[in-house]
Amino acid sequence: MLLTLLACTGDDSPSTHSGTTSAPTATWEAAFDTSGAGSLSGVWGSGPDDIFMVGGNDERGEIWHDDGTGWSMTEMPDVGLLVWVFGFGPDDVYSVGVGGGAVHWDGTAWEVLTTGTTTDLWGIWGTSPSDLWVVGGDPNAGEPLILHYDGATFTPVALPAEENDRGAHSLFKVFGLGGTVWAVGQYGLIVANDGGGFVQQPTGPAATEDFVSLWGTSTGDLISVGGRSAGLLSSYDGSGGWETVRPERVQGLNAVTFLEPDRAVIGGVGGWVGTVTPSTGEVVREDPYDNRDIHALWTDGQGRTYGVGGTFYAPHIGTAVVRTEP
Amino acid sequence: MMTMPTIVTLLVACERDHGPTPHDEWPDHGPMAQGIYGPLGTAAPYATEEQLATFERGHEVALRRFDREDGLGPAFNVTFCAACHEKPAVGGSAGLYRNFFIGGRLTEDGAFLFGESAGNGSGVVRVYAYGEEWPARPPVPDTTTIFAQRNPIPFFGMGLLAELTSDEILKRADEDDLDDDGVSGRPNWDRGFVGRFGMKSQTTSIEAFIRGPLFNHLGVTTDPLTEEQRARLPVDSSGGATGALRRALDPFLQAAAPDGPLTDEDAAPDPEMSTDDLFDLVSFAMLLAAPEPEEPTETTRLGQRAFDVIGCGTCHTPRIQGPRGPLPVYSDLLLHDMGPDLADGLVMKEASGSEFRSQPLWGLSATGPYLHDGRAATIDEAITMHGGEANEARDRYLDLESEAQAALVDFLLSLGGRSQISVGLIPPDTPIAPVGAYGGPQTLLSAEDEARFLAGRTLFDEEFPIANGTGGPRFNGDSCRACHFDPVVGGSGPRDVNVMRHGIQSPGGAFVTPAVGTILHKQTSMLDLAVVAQPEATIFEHRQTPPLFGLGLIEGIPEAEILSHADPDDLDGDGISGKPSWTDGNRIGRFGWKAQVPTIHEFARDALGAEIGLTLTQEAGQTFGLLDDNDDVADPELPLNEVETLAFYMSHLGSPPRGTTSPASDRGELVFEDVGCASCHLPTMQGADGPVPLYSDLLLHEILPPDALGIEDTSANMREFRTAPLWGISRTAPYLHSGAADTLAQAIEAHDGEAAAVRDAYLALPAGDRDDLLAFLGSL
Repeated sequence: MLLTLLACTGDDSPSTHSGTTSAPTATWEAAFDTSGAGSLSGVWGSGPDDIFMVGGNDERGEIWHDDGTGWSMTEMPDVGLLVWVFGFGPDDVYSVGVGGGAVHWDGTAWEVLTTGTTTDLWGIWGTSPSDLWVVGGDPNAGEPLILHYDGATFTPVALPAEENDRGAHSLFKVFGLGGTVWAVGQYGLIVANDGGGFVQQPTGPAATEDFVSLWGTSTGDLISVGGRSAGLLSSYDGSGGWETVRPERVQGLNAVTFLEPDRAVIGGVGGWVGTVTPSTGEVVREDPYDNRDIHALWTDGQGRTYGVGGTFYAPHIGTAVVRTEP
Repeated sequence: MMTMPTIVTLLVACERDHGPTPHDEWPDHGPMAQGIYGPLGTAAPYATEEQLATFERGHEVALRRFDREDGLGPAFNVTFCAACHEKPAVGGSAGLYRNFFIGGRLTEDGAFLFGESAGNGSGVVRVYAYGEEWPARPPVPDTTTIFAQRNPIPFFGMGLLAELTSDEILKRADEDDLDDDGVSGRPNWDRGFVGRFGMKSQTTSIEAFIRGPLFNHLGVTTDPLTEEQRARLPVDSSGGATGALRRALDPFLQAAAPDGPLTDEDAAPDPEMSTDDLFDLVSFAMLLAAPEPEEPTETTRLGQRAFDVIGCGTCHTPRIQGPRGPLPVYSDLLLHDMGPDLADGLVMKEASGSEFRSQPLWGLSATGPYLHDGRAATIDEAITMHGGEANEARDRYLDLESEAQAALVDFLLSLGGRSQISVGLIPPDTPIAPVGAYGGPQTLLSAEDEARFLAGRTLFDEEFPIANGTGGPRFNGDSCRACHFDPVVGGSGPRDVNVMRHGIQSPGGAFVTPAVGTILHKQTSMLDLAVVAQPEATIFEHRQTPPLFGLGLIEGIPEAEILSHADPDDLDGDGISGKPSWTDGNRIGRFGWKAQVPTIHEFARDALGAEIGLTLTQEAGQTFGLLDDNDDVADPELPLNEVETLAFYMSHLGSPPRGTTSPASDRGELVFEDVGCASCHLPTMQGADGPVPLYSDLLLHEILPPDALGIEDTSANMREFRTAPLWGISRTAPYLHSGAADTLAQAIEAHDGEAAAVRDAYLALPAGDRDDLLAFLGSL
């Protein structure tokens, strides 16, 4: 899959930046009243009636849960601000966060997991409860952290220096498809592991800033998003490389989820939300609910896409939104 | 002299030679918005009373000096915003001495990544650090291979540019040069809007344009403004509106991403600047008035005509439509390729390494030097250095007769700020301060000497461009005033003009001078390089700028008077020695942190060469001064008579006026004597015309801990320093040779070596006595 990018004028020549159009058809509204919540940065569910949102503040992590009857904050053990959440079913959910914090939900309670690190953890994904990958790092110093969890123990996995020629200090998200695991992070770094260890993949001249997240439905529909003050979109080329573009009129992107194989919802800084069609490169901006940064998106498969975000500094104001299409 | 009709003829000939341009149709540059102009550095006339109050507060924030205790660092380039935005007023630009480096590299797959420097990944190279994490001059990683310099950018009229719609800028874009005029014009994009600020239009948000540098250059952390604050800014930057309303407002929104880390590694609590102060600072920037163009004259009209005919206006668009009317910005705010000679290699979003924003020309008269790195001292130089897309316009300029060129330059000077032009920072026609005031002469001067003193002050303030020899190729300042301006010209300087000394410790522990000497300069006239220490250097030492007030009195102290206090072998057994500094075998040193310089004339010669890189004529009996260097400018670069004028000014600068005394300071003076401070800080020494109250013995003492590593210099070992004169100390914070102490109390507590016993006696004092002592020092 390639992002064949269109300029606003319809110019279909390859370009290092894409255009955007603005014909919103979707509606964004509040998912629930977040006035009692801290910052929110991760969302995942096993289905429309079992959705988790994680976040917190400088003092503690918090997780909100909709079990089909409404949203409520779950009782939490002693853990710091949580960043990302991923699971395998209503009784098997994992969340990681700052200071090496990690918790597991067994359907009734959250239990703290011992990760063996105090490094901030930014992402978690896996194929099964005994094959989970966690990534993190201190963006200001040191090496990126990769952990593998076999259901009992978190084990560090080295990222060789030669596979990090961009000098990234941190990886931010991890995701896998078809036996390959990708992790994305600082300074445009993307690494992949198909069983032989993590290998850096070329991301191209436009990949000058951080990649923050990635998601896909197949190796033909896999994209990473990022940028800090201006959005970056990168599309996997199916053979070990990524094509990165810088769309015009798009704020820095933090979040991506797929509505269908060739249509993804993306969100980012300043509440920027929209969709991208990877095969054409068309980006459609949508009217946001508010202007708080979007940090994560998740689609329930039933037409509803949830987004979370907020500010990661005091007083830690969160936002939780839901997108629907007519 | 060529007459005006002749100039017109030349311009017409120029048109014939090169064919008509679209600008031929412009009889003038059209009407302008009203009610937006003012002298550079003042508030826009449309500011409300409430906004004016905010403007004043923001002005104060821009001048606020950050200390280590309130968030400076741990690594930094400057200590306050106005350090770089000072010329000709707060909010403006600065001389070459405030240039900074940006570094980066290209990855194997072709991406440009900014380099890291002392905890900062923005590409900005930080040149100062306190603390243990990095040496005083933080290293530059080997991976950073591309360097460029930036001269500070002025903020005048910035709020008006913030109000421009993206479409207003986009309508001039011609990315593929479809009109085939050889000039393209590409937008940069930031946060979903067309960029407009920065040398590469890389930013749309003034808040971000301030928060980023606060961290990159000061190490000061901030939280983003709240939505409520953004809504109250002079240019509404909130995103509070939603849905269709938000979309309608978009052109005026400046959503600001949280640029810059929210925290850093120093001990000061984050955020280190409150959002209230940040709000005032952003408001100040947004409210700075637009530079006011002058009424046209015959010459400026001819210059304008030349500007149009040769095609300057293709990129330097005379008018750009804002909500308040047409703005005489003289920029399209778009990116243009400026050719290989100006290329800096920095990729900023859409901008390639050779692309730059058409710099706004309003107000440029008083904001030189010019171009992104200040390589051009004059407007004429700046024009002739244009390349790339501007080649044709530049060549047309070069084809003009000199009178037409001068008229064009005069036209550009007329675009605002001309009355504020200074050779440095002292505003034109500023009188000499009176005797007894800071910056005034020691005694009343004759008319002839007063004129010489004024000429010396002007020379002291004057910024010397690279073309005149600044840099050898390295330098620290482009003027004497660049370092000596606290509290007035001639004084000391803040931490951000510290001179960095460095050295190598041999395996046996001996001090080894690096190949370039012990001065590790901050700047270089080689614009694609950064100054880095040789890898073997392990000793780094800040050196604060010493004030020059009263130097003439110190020079008048007889050698015998200094020697009478010496006790190099501590024969009196008081634990304090006191060693004279012999500079070249037979002259006693009395100036500089290590008393390494014997006379004021030599001090001037030394600084002109070592700090500015100006070469001088050899003088009999003088051992300081740079006689030749490695730049392309013919030596000597400064004539002897100007050195003498400078030395005259420095010799006649009055001693620091004594501050107000109080009962506490009177008591403190006794404590000062009792506790032993006066053993080295002699209250007076006998000068040529009576006692000199300098509070120093001008001798060398070990005041660093026994295991400390420092710089050897002349007679002084690694731990020895001249007893620093304390007169005027209340106005010269921070303290110690390194500036490591924010306060006088910290400075006393940091004394060691020979001063350890006195320090301990001070610490053992009752709190009230310590306060009295500090009150006394504060009165000096």
